[in-house]
Order: sequence, then structure tokens, then C-alpha cells
Amino acid sequence: MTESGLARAAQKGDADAYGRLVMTYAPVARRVAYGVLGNWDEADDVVQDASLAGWQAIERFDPARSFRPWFLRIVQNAALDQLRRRKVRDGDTLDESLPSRQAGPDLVADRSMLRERIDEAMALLPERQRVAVMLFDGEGYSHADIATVLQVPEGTVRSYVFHARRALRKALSVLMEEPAR
Amino acid sequence: MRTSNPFDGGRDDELGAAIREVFTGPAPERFLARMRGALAALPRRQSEWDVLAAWAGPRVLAAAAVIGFMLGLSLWRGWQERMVAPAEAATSVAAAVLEPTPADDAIIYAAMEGR
Repeated sequence: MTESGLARAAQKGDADAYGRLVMTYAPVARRVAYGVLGNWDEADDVVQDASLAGWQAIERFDPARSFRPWFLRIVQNAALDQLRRRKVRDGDTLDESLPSRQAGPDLVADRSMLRERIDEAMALLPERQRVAVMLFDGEGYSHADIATVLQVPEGTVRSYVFHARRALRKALSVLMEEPAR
Repeated sequence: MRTSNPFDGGRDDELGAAIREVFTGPAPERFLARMRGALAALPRRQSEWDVLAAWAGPRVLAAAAVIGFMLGLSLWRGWQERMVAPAEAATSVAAAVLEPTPADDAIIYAAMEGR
């Protein structure tokens, strides 16, 4: 069955059809949530909650459109809500122009240096830039799809990708200049 | 890196691969199993009518109760009026008998003339 067929079936109450749709995009949804939150446990919780929210809202989905950006937008919003709750709880302020998290405890010790550098640089990016570059270069999404997910104009997505790439390349250029350890 | 221009509209496969690696979370199978479990236990979806019914239900019941009370009160008052009307008629007849009438004056005059 096609994606629009599954979506129509889900709109008629077919939970199995909805489950198949969500499972198709669950891995990328997890990455989007992690891109915002920087924490895998919270990301998993958010994706599960977003799946439930999507099920309750599926009647408002237009089956003529792609399910992927619609679902990822729900995930992104749920992740931002969770981030706000965390920042309120921690007494922090939500400023999207500032780096959202610090690299450190979540880093895995035995990964490659390239991955480590990328991870550190990604961790220092604002959430939306991180999600934008992850979806564009990592997942191959179009600017238009990312604009739908992030609910910003396409030009803003291009700007996010530009700034994120510049930061990542800067981090990687340092790696290139370093002598081999 | 594929290009030195970060504003390039094309994709950077090398950067993309590195990003995908960084964004590969721990225990993906466990996550997918958890998602399958959650999706298998989806609750019945509320339609817009369900939401409306949940919102309107108590209000409709309250309105029905008020309407029922008003209707009952109206019927009771109608019944009361029907029951009271014959009594009022009887009271009127009794009052008419007891009220002073021209005949009383005639009797007085007749009695006075007889003296």
C-alpha cells in the first residue's frame, strides 16, 4: 500500500496502517528529537509521545502530501516543548541563538576522532541549525521539507545549513591541521 | 568535504555520512521494539465529534434538566390553575349570596312600611 493509502486508512481508524507509517520514519524521528534535545533517552520518550499525538491528529493530515515532514514536525515540536520544560525546570532560558548543550558526558570514548569532532561541533550548534544540517546532509531532505519540519521559510533553512556547515568545517579543519596522534 | 563553499546547495556526502554516524543512537533495535509496542497499544482515536460530544455532553444534560424542570413547573402550574378555578367559582357564588343585595333593602323598606 502506498503512503497516501496508509494515511487514508489511518484516518479511518486503522492503527496498523498508522503504525507502519510511523515505523518507516521512526529512526529519523529519533535523530530529529536527539538533534533538539541532545539526549537519547529524552529523544526516545519524545518520539513515542509524538507518535501518540500524531495518531490523535491524523484526521487533520492531508494524504495528498508527504507524511514524513508532517510527522517530523510533530516530533520537532514535541522535542522543543520538552526542551522548554527542561530549561524551565533547570532555571535556564530558551535562547535559540546560543548553543543548546555542551558536549561531554554523552560522548562515547572509543569513537573515531572525526566522529568526535563532528559530535562536539554539532553539540555546540543551536538546535534548529543542528536539525537542519542533519536532515539536509545526513538524511538528504530538501530545503522545502526541512522548512515544513522547522516551520520556517526555505531561505532560513538555507541559512541554518550554511552556518552549521561553516561551524562543522571549522571544527574539521582543526582536525586536518593537527598532527596525527 | 565535497566543496569549500558552505552555502552550496548540493549535499556533502562525506559530511552527511559523519553526521549520520554521530546521530546513530544507542540500541536502535530496542528503540524500534519500544515503538512497535507503543504503536500496537494505540488508544481508540477520538474523532472531532467525540471531542465535541465530550465537551457538549454535560452541557446538553444540564440544558435538558433545566428544560425538563421548566416544563414540569409549567404543567404543574397549569394543573393547579385547573384545580383552583372551580373553587373560585364556588367562592364567587357564596360571596354573591352573602353580599348585600337590593333585595335586602327591599325587605328593610317593607318591614319599615309595615310599622
